[in-house]
Amino acid sequence: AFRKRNAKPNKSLERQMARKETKRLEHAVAASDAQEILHVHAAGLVEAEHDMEKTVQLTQQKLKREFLEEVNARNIYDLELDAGNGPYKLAYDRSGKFSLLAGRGRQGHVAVVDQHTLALQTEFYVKEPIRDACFLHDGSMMALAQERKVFIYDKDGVEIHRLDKHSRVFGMQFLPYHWLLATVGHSGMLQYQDTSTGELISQHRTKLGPCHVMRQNPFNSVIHLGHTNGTVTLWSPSSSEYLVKLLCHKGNPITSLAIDRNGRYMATGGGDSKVKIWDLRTYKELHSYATYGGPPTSLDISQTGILGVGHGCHATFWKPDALSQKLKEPYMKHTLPGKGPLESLRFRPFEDVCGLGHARGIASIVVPGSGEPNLDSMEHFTNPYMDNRQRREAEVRSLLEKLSPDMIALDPDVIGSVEESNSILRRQRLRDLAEEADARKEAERDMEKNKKEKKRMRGRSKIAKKLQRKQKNIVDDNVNKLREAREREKAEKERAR
Amino acid sequence: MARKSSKSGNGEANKMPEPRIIDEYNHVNESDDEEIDEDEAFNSEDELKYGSFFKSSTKSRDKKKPDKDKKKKKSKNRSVVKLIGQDEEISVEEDQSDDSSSGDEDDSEDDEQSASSGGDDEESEDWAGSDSDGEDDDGGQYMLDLLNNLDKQVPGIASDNKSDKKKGESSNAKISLDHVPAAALHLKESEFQAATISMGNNNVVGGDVGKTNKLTLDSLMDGISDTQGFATVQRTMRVLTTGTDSASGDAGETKKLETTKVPVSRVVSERASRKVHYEATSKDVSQWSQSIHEQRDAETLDFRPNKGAGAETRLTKDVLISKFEAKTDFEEELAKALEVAGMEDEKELRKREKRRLLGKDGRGDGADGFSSDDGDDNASQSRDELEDDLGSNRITLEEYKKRHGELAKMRALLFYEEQKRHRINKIKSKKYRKIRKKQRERQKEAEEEAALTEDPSLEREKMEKEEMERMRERMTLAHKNTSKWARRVLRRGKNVDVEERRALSLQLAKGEELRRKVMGLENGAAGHEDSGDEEEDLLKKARDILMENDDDVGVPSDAKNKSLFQLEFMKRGMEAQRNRAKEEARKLLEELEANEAAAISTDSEDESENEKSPASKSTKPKVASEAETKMVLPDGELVASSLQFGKSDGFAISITGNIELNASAESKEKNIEEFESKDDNDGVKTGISIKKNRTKKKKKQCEPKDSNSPSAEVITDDNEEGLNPWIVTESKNSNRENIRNRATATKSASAKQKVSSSLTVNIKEAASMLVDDIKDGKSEAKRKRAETEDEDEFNEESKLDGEKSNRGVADLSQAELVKQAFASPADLEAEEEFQKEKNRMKDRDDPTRQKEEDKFVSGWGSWAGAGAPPPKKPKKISSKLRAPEKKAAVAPKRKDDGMSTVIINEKRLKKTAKYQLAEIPHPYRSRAEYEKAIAGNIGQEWNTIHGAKDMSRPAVIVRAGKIIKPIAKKAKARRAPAKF
Repeated sequence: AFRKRNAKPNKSLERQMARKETKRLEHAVAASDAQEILHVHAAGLVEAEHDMEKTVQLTQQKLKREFLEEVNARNIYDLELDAGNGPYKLAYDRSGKFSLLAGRGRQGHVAVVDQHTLALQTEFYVKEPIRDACFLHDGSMMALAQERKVFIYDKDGVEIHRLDKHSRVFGMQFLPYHWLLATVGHSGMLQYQDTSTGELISQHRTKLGPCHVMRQNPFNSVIHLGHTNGTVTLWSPSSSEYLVKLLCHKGNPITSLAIDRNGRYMATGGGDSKVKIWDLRTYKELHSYATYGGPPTSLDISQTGILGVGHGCHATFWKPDALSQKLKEPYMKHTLPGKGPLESLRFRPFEDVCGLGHARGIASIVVPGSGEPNLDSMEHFTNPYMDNRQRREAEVRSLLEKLSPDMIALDPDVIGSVEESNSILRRQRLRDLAEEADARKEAERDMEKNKKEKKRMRGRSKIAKKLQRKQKNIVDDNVNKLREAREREKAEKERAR
Repeated sequence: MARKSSKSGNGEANKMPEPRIIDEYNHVNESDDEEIDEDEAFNSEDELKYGSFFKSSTKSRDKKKPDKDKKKKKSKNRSVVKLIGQDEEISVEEDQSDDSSSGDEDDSEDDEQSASSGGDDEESEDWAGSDSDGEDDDGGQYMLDLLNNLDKQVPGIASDNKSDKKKGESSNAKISLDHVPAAALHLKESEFQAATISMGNNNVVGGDVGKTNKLTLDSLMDGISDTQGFATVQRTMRVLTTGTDSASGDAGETKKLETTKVPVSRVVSERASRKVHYEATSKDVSQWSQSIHEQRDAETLDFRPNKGAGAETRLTKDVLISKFEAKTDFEEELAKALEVAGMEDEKELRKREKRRLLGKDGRGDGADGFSSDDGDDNASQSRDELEDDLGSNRITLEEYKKRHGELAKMRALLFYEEQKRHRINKIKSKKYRKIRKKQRERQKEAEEEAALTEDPSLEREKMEKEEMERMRERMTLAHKNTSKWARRVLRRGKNVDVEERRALSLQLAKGEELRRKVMGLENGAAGHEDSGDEEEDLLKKARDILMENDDDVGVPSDAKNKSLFQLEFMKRGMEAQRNRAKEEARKLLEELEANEAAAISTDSEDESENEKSPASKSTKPKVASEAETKMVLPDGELVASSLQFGKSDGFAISITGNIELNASAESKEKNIEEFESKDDNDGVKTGISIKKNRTKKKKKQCEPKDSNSPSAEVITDDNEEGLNPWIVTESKNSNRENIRNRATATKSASAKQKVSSSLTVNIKEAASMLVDDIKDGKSEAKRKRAETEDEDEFNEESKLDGEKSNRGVADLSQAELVKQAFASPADLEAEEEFQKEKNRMKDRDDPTRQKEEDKFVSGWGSWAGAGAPPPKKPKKISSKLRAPEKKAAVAPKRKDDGMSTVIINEKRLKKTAKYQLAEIPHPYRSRAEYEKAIAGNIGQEWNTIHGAKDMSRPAVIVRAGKIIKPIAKKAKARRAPAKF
């Protein structure tokens, strides 16, 4: 335990480390060079040509008519569905190929659309209002949070599982690297279900009442919950208590949440009609934007960092800079008059498209510069063009590379590092170790207690004897005859008396 | 001679020729001595033990009196002759030889020489030579051998005799058989004889009798005295004995006969051998260390037959170019086009270029006599060929390297030399510096003088400069007690002599004086400082005139005293003149001030607020007019310093502005010019408001109405002052006095105090009175603050806002104020709840948290129950006896400290901890080092394929079945010479 501070220098180690460091840097340079070669595309934002022009003024119609090619222009559409089925939740899978529409109406309308061909993949009704919907690891499976339970369907709409433990769920998130489905709902219970083994990993009581707002931090897989008392809590399956609690909107419920891809910024929308930007390293509020026409009902941050805010019937988009500094005016705007508060606003991965789920259906608009232009083929399930073989391969590989749920921590780099130590943690560590030892002892004792006593009598369980014993009970004709004979004898004896 | 007489038996101790030496101090009884057999008396073992002791003792004795010994020796020898008598010849010869040997000693000749001379003697005086020569020769040879053996072995003299005998037995049995028993017999006889003789002649030769008791070489050899070659033997033996003899007589002169040294103990010898072996082995092993180090440091040990083959086959640009061949149509077309353009071959191309360049150069160099190459095409061609590719075809690589190395060496040497010279050149003696400095000063002076004579206007500049220097000197206080000398004197304290003490005090006084001067200058010369400006000058003059007008009534001037000026008409004339001057001055003043006001008015507003920074620009008007202001505009100056109100809130406002009240006639339109207030917390609480004057004045100047009739105002204000309802405790006179005090600009602390105390104002009342009059937005805010402080309801609210209550209300922004005012209860509730939770969390994790335990249980040590007397208080123990109090443990710092809206859970994540290390693993010594070591990703996702492979290469690469040879030793590589 005791380590000398001023130990004499280990030259060999120093040399080794220096060499390693140079090597690492060399390879990093090489990798960045390679990236320059491979990543040829850059995300481009629309820019105004002169001072009088503003990017906010650019409408979708204009974009469609004047600027976009046919391929991209067809991403601009408004899909009006039956009024009774809305408002619609919208979700994309990780590759952005499929979109999932789930109506909150009583019919429980569900549809999966292939975004490449714009063809309807599946459509079915669950006859129950759907609170939330999300794809699992890829587009072939989806989870629907229905009125009472959570169900898992395959791409054809066949019900695969019913998760009984998850009742009255309002929000769901799938953690792709851990294969976990996290749900939270009316009871305020946060539950993690392993979708590969079907095991319920952990359940945490938030003690903060029903919770509607849930997002994951893509950087460290920590779940962020927005509560009705204006606080946001951060959770991991390994801790029964929240990791961090932030008082974001004092006295106003959190209506929506979004976290950027690098896990650095969080945007929260509150009932006070404000969107606040938080730095997740310092947990400090950086700045806030006010919304009009209602509180921000849905927030999303695109892969490139564009902040989309759905408030009332408006969707407002802010440049990536808006996270780090306060901007005066938004990047783009889109209005869906009369289509009520936007239920969900989601950016489509790897495309400059944003989907808006509203009261009467869904709308798709183009937000230039919102999608990551370069695909990463090493990342499983993010290739929108993967074929069946690749998909199967990815599934297996992804399962092999599945991370343990206990690895989720605020700082993902703690895995493999030396434990932090201060007086509090040291104490806790000792206590934990003692507890562990106790538990082990207890288990051993239990084992001993429950050990089955071996049958000591020999020969009894020999197979021949067993068979013999079985033979004894067989009632056949002979036995019957014998029994009859005996009874006759008995009767004769009695008569003789 | 006490020795001699007392120990007659051991008297031979003084005589040393015998091999067995018995120390006189270590003597034994004669009877004991007799019983011991000679051979056993002092055998080799004893020799080992005591031999060295004897040697040293004899030596020391020898040194004491060598002369005496010699004399004694001789006399004893003679006595032997007398006593023994029997072998007279022999003894005579013995005597002779002894003499000769002693003579040898005196001449300090070698043993060998004496031996050889002895040999010669033997041959020449072969008087006893009855036997044949051969026999004689044999015997001599034998004895020599014996001697040689003796020399080699030297097992001690007593054993010498034994070995002597043995040798004799082995090599020459006949001799030993013949003589040894005889010798033994002789020995016995002699012993007996000696005893009898000693008995008989006790009186005659007291000291020398004991000698015959001992076994001597002579007595041993008596037995063989009649053998052939005895003389030689005797001589050689004599050499031996004299060797020991000479050791007693003349140390170091002749060869010493030494005993075999005691072998060193096993431990020591083994240790030595180990050491030697270790050194040899480590030297041997170190030949491998180089290769071991290399292997240890190597990332990968590659035992494959052709390692690094991959690197060669890697595609590079050069490889691709060298292999390029035009295959497709397009490529062929391109190649053709290039051929047409004459660029098919790079070599050709370069040549052509060179030619072109050279052609140009040739033209250029033609003037310098460079022979142009145009004439001889072939020559130029060949040279081109030679010089292409940087002339690499002319020198080999080795040559080039060698040349380069030489060049580098030269350059390095030059560089070092230059560096050295550079350094050395810099070093100059103190004297040199001194002289140089003086030289420089002189030169500068001369230059300056010259410049002065040329341009007299420079004089002023020079003077100013000098003045500046003087000032600087004073500012830096060269006369402070910080000089080395002063410090030394101070340190020595009272031991300093009077002279030095006086000098020091003188210096102190000087320093003090200078300091005072600096201060005084600041005060006194304030006017002068700013008078550089011409406009200022004018302004001042004008004011002076005005002032004079006011003053002249009471103050008699020199002019007035003159009788001439006492005349009526003169008076009138002067009056008129003065009036005119006054008028003019006023106009001028007006004009100037208007100018100034225009310049200042823009920022006057801000300035009045920024009281912390009395801007330098504003000091000018202030300084110029301060005195005058006091006189001309004795306003209702109000200084409320460090007034505390709203005691409970812990922050106070000190009002350090001037509140000017105008006449009641003008009271409607008049208002408060300034109401400067500031936070106490700022730390600027000086309590003095002198600076405020100017700002106020400036404002006045802005208003033309005011500047029109300042004198008129003087009166009204003066009258007003007394009526000022704000001022609670003050008298008019004292006020005036104070003002005057300030006009004289003695800013002593007492005066300040007076001012502030006399002008203390009850702000609370004042504020309430002011309410109607205040129009200024700024002052309104101030008033609001004043009000807020007083009113309880606001206080309550501000208390609710835990953090913000520390700040003044005025410091809050408009938005914050509004927010505070309209804060909904839900808001506050949420915040409160959050804070509570945070505190709970803190408490839970705090290891220093202690439950409040009542240490004294009632009933313990006292009566309890109904009717029991109240328990005694624990006895107070004196602080000396009390156990030392434990230091209050400080709660460790939390991550969320200082963040009011964040709770960071500090609970250890047990489950995550299993993926972490409890301690820093072995080779690393710090967390940082370890983290650095594991930093960076080595996977394919983050690196190029080559990088990932490289970083995850195994430590040892070997083909199955490959025989790995043991490490070969390797010479330590020398450090490569520095490259330049």
